[in-house]
Amino acid sequence: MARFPIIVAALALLAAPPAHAAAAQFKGLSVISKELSARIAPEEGPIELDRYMPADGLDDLVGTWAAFGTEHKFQNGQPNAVNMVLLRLTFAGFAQSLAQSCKSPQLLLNDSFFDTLEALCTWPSDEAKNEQVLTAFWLGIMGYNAPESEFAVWRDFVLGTYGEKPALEAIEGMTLALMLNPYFLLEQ
Amino acid sequence: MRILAGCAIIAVTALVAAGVSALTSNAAPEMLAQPRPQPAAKPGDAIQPLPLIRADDAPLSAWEKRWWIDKTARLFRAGQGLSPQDDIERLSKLSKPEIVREFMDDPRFGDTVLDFNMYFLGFKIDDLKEDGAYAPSAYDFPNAISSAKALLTNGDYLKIFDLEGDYYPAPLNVTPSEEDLGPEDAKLTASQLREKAIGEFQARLKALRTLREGPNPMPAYAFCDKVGEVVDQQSEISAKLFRAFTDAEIFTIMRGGIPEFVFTALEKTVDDECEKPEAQVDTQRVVETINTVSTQVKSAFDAVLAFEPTKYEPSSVAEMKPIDRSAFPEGKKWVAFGLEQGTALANSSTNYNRKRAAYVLKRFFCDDLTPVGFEDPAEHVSGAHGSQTSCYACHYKLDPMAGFFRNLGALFGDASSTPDIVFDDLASMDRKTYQATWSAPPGSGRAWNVGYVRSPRWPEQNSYGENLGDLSKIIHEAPEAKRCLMKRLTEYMLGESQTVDGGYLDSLTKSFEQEASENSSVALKNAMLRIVQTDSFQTRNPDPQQCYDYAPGTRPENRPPCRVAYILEKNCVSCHSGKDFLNTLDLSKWIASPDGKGKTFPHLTTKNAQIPASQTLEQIANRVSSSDLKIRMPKNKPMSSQERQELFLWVQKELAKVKD
Repeated sequence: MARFPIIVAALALLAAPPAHAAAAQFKGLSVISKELSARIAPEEGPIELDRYMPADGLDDLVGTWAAFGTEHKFQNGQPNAVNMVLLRLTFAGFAQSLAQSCKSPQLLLNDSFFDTLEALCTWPSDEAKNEQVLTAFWLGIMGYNAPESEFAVWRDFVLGTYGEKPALEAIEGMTLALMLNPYFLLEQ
Repeated sequence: MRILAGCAIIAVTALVAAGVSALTSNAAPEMLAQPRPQPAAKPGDAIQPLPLIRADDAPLSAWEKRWWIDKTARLFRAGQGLSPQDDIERLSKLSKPEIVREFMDDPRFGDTVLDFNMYFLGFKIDDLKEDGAYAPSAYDFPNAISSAKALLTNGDYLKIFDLEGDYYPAPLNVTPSEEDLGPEDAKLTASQLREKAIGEFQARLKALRTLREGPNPMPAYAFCDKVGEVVDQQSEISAKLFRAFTDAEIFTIMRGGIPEFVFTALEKTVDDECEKPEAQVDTQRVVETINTVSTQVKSAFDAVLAFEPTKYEPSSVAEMKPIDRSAFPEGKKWVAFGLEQGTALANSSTNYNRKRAAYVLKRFFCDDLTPVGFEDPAEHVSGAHGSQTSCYACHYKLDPMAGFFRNLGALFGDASSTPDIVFDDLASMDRKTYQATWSAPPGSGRAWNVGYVRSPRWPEQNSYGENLGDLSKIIHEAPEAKRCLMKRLTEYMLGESQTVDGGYLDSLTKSFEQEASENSSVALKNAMLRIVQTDSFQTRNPDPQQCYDYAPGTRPENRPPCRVAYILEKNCVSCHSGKDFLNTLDLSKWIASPDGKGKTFPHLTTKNAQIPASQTLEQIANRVSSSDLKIRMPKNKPMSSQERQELFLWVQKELAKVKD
């Protein structure tokens, strides 16, 4: 287990986007919520990731245009230790909810993503590890934000690390790995 | 799980810190084809099909085309990318302009335009909608809404430049906002409370009127006293009325002149009539005034109550409606600055509207007021800001711009007919004394020294005016404003940190101007279509320091850095291109510095030795920022202050690099 951080970081550095220092800003939780909602939620029930924040009002710390009484600028978008931890906690909460949905409904999901998740809930069955299912799950969360090569790296990581793990752990892990990918997090 | 997240933190932090540049090489950018002429569209016409600007798509893999479609969908559908309802297979087979056209037909495109307009005005918010309804802030910028609505019907998109016009209130509040309501009020819904508060206000006026009705009307002086009591209780009566409204709603009501108009009218009539001997008091005139203001109050509140949420809850920009301005006593000219701008752009007793002026220069002209010097005025300039050149470098344009707002007091309220001006810091002063700040010098041919000043030396380059209507006209006509609009559009669509070649921006602006002379909405849509087809947009993780798109005919090889290459070409290279043997500085090339410290311009001594980069850059900074016409560059040629600022800031940055 101790090797994992180094291996994953190295993989991420090799395959991840050439993030340019001046441009690499978080999208902000509201942008991510909107993107995610379009892909996996029904129109009448958008995903609001801020509900997974550790406390109210913290979403302003992970990238926001919100201000009053002064001209607005995008603030707190530069990655730092605080906003990275906040995002990690938020996404972990969401990933857990998604995984728990295999046992009981936790989130409003659209039919298409519900079917994908249903298949994944049979993990570690072959049906769940099917390329089509994994691709659909990847596209559900990530969309086309990342190049195809990123999907291959993620798929191999998931199959290798969670190959024989129970469904809830695997889904939580693969979701979090996906959401912490710089292509998902950063404005491009 | 902890381990995995830790890895990602390391990865993201490392990526950001590294600022790695691993760009894929891009094919030479295609030039913009000339747009087809657009027939003039009338407001209300159906959206015309966009011209095909690029006949063929850049070759992208299927995955990358889908990435482009998803990214474009997010941009044109207010952040919502592809969903399962989108037929990605079908979309992938369409050309890029066809895809864009389809996204522009989506009602969410109106939200994108409103969002961009708010970005242009400097007040973008995270979410235009909260729980499916527009956020109150989305209503605060009337010119942003007017312009977005116009775009959806191919009307005049350039209403974004109008500083007076319609006003679009938000639906009235659903829950009373005041916390310490009385026990009776607390039982009411927001709507019931509004009805009650308005009813009470109208009842006060009706009660006054009845004092003179019937067989035994109240004697004139006693009647005068009763009317005077109401005037004296202005604050209490207003506060009682306002308990049913939010700050934003109070702002709207007050902007329309209610209830101040009532008290002003009553006070004036009382002053006119009640000083006379009792027998001569024209009580009928006082009653008529009460009747007039009562009618006006009813009409104004009818207009306000049309925004009850049961009657009005727009789900798209197209459904947003303006308030009936004619229902208000002061509704003829509704200033486009809402509550938030009123708060952010306060007029204090010391800044004399300069904050508002700086805002207009920055947002409408992209002039960030970097003090880079100015052409020495032909005549001596008096005052603290005039005698100190470092101050005058900004104040020569800031002060005349501030004059456009001289009739507007706190929260942009109209003070044109009041004896005093009241500032946002609650100080006040005699309005005529205050306005004398902007009196034009004798012999200038103008009453006011108010305008958009490009040069303190050459007045013929400047655009003068007197009021906000004139300023709107100046913005509409100024080429700087249209270029600024295009600059902000590229920032909005490509990212604020992405460098865009000035030549490309000029080319984009030129196309926009040509098309906008026919139809500004079509022109904006075409500009958006052009931008989503740029290499900047189509490159994953573009290097923010690199330019990807150029004006037709540009050869980017060996050019100076793209942030300034076009500025140099436009303003300097005709003399400093190395063609003239007397000229030892070549600003058209960018070569490795002989001392190994980065790159520099070819700059030779008389003995043909390369001058150190730091010296060259220092000289450029000095020449660009000097006020002395003998050394100021470009010599005897105007250069826009925006370009001068950009060049100066870049030189400073390069200087810091070579001195490290």
